[in-house]
Amino acid sequence: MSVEVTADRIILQGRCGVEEAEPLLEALRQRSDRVVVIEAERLHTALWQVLMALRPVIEGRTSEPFVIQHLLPEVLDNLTKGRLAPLTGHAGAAFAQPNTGANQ
Amino acid sequence: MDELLQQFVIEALELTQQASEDLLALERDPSSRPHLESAFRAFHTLKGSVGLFDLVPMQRVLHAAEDRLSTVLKGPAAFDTGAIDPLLEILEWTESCVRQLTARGALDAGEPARASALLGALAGGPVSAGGNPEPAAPQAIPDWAKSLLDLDPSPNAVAFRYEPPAECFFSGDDPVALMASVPGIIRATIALREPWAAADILDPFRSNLIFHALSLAPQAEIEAVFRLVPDQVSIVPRPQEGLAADASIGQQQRTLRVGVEHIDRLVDGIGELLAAKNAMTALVDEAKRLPGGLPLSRSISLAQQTIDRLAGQLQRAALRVRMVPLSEVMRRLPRLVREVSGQVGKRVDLVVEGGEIEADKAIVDALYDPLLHILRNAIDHGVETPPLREQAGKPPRGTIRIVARQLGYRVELRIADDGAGVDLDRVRSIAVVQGLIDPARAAQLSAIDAHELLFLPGFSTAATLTDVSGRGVGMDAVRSAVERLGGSVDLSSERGRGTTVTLSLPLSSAMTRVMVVDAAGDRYGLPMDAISETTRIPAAAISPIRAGEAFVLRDRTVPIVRLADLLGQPRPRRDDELVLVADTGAGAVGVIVDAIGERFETVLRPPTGLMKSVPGVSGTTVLGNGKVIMILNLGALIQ
Repeated sequence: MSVEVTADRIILQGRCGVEEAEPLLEALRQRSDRVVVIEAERLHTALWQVLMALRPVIEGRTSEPFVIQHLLPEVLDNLTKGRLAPLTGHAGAAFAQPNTGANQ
Repeated sequence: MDELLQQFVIEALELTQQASEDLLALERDPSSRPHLESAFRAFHTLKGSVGLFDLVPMQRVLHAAEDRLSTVLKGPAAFDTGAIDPLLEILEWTESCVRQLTARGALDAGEPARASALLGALAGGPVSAGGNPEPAAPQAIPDWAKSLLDLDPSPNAVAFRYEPPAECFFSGDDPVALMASVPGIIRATIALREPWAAADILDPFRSNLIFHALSLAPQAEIEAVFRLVPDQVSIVPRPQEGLAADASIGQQQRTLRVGVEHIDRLVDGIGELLAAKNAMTALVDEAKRLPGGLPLSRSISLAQQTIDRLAGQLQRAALRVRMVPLSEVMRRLPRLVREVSGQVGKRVDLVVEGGEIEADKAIVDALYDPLLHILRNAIDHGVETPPLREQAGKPPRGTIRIVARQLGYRVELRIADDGAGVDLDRVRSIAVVQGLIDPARAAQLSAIDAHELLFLPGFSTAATLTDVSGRGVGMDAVRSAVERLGGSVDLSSERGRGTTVTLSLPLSSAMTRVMVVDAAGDRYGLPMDAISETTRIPAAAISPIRAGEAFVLRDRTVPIVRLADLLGQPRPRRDDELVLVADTGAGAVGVIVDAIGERFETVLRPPTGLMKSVPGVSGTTVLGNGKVIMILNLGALIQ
C-alpha cells in the first residue's frame, strides 16, 4: 500500500504510480482537510496534479531536486506563500506547511 | 517567422526555380509554347503572392517581367532570347529578396534602386545590378523561448518546452519524472493546459501540465531524455552569432510540401492500426483463460503496451502534420473588413487574438466562409454609422474583436462587435411577416429563443438587399457550415452594446473521442465532445414533467431522456440511474444509460448503405473485441 489513509492524514509511501492518484483524490474529496504526508521516493505526475488542483496541507520530504526547486513552489504557492517552515531532515529537503485551517 | 510569409518563402523559391528552368528551356527552343506559358504562370503567381505583402519594388519588377512574357504569349513573334538574361537576373534578385525576408522580414534599403536597374535592363538598358551580400540576421526564435533565454545570460543556455498530451498517462508517460531526469535545469515554470476542474469532477488521469525550462546541458542530452516523445517537446538553443543565417537556410531545405491527400491516407492508416490494436485486449483475456496461459497473457499485454505507445506517438505525429494555426484564416480578414466597411460607409477596426492556436487544416480552411458571413453581418447590421455611434456616446470607429481560445479538445471563437445589438422586437415581427413563426408564439419567445430566430433558414432583417449581406444566406448557412465541421454556433446580444457570435469547433476532425455505453442490452458509442459530465443520481431525484422527466443539476433543471427509450427498447426504472450530461446544441440534456465502458480515440467511419438513412447514427467503429458498434448522434436522436 503506498497510499495510506487515516482519519486526518494521507500518507504516501514508496513509489506511487499513476493508479494511486484515484485513492488520493478520493480521500481528499471525502475530507479536504486531511494532511498529505509525502514519504514517497517518487510520485507520479497524476498525484502531483491532484495536489496542485486540490491544494491540501502537505508535509514530508523528498530528494528529487527538480521537485524541490521547481515543482513544489507550484504545489505550495498561493495558499502558503511566505509561510513555508522548512524542516531539517536527512533524506533531502523537507517541507511542511503549518496547518492553520486556512485552506479550502 | 510569420506563417503566411513562411509559406510564401517556400512557394516563391519553387516558382523561381520553375521559371528559371522554363527560361533556360526557351533559350534552347525559343518557339516552345508550353515553356513560355509555364514561365508566364510562374511570374504571374509570384507577382500575385508578392501582392499579399507590402513589397513594392518586387511587385513592380515582377509585374514588368510578367508583362514582357504576356506580350510574347499574345503576339505572333517568337520569344526574343535577349530577354532571358534580364529575366534570369530578376529571378536571382527575387530569390535574394526572399532570403532577406526570411532573415529579417523586410527588404534592404538598397532594393528599390536595384529594382529600377532591373526594370531598365528588361526594357533594353544595361544590366548594372550587382549582387548584394546578404548580411547575417538573427534567426527568429519563438517568444516563449526568448523570454526564457532572457532570464539567464549563459551563452550555452537551451530553452525547451515540453507539452505532454492530456492522455499521455495512458501511454505510460510520467511527465514530472521525465522533467526530473533532464540534466542542468536552472529555471522551470509549469503552466496548465486548462484550469483545474473542481474536485468532484477532476479527472486525475488527464495530464494537465506544460513545462517550460532553461537548461545548461548540451542540446543532445536534452533531446535524449525526450527521445520517445520528440513531437511533444520543442528545444531552442540560444542562437549563436554568425551561425544563425546558415542555420535558417538549412531549416528551409528540410521543409517538405506534401499533398493533404497523402497525409490523410497516413492518418486513416494509423486510425485503422489503432482500431486493430484494440483487438489485442481480447487476446490477453483469451490467453489468460488457457491453462497455464498467464505468462503468455503477460507477454501479449506487454507487447500491447508497446504497440499502444508507438501507435499513439505515430498518431499524434501524423495529426500534428495536419494542424495549422488559425492565423492562416484570420489574417485574411482585416483586408475584408476594410473593404466591406468601406462599402457601407462605416469605420470598423478588427482586433484578432489567439491566431497561434492550431487546429486541423480542414477545419481552419472551412472556417473562412462562416467568418466572412459573421463579419459581414456585424458590419452591415451590427456596427452603427459614425453619426449614430456618436449620438450613442461611442467612438466613431466600431470594433470587432475575434478571440480564439482553446478549451480542451475544442477551440472557441468569439466574434464580438460593439454595435447596436439585435433589435429583438424587429426580429420577432420580421419572422412573423416572413411566415417563419406565428404571432402568438413570437410574442412569447424569450430573448434567447428570439435570437434563435436569426438562424432560421430564409430569415433576413435587411430592409433593402445591400451588396454586403441580406441576401437571405446568413446565419442559417453559418450554422449548417459549422455543424458540418462538428461545431456549434451561438448568438447573443445586448441592446446598444453589441452582438457576440460564439463558434465552438473540434480541434481535429480526423479522430473522434468516443465513450462506449450500454443501453437496452447493446453497446453504443457516443462522441465524448458532446458529453460534459457523467453522474449517478437516485431515481427519487428525477421528477416527471408532463410527458418527460428532468432533474436538477447545480441549480439548473436538466431534461432527461433514456437512451433505451430513444432506441425503442424501454427498460424498467432503477433505484439509481447513471446519467451522461450532454450538450446537444439545444441546451444540456441528461441521457440515462445502463453502464459506461471504455473511452478511446477512433477514426469515425461515416455510415454507408442502408445505415446512411438511419437518423441518429453518425458512424461506426470497431471495439477491442472486433465487434462493430454504432456511434450515435445524440442531438439527432433526441429530435
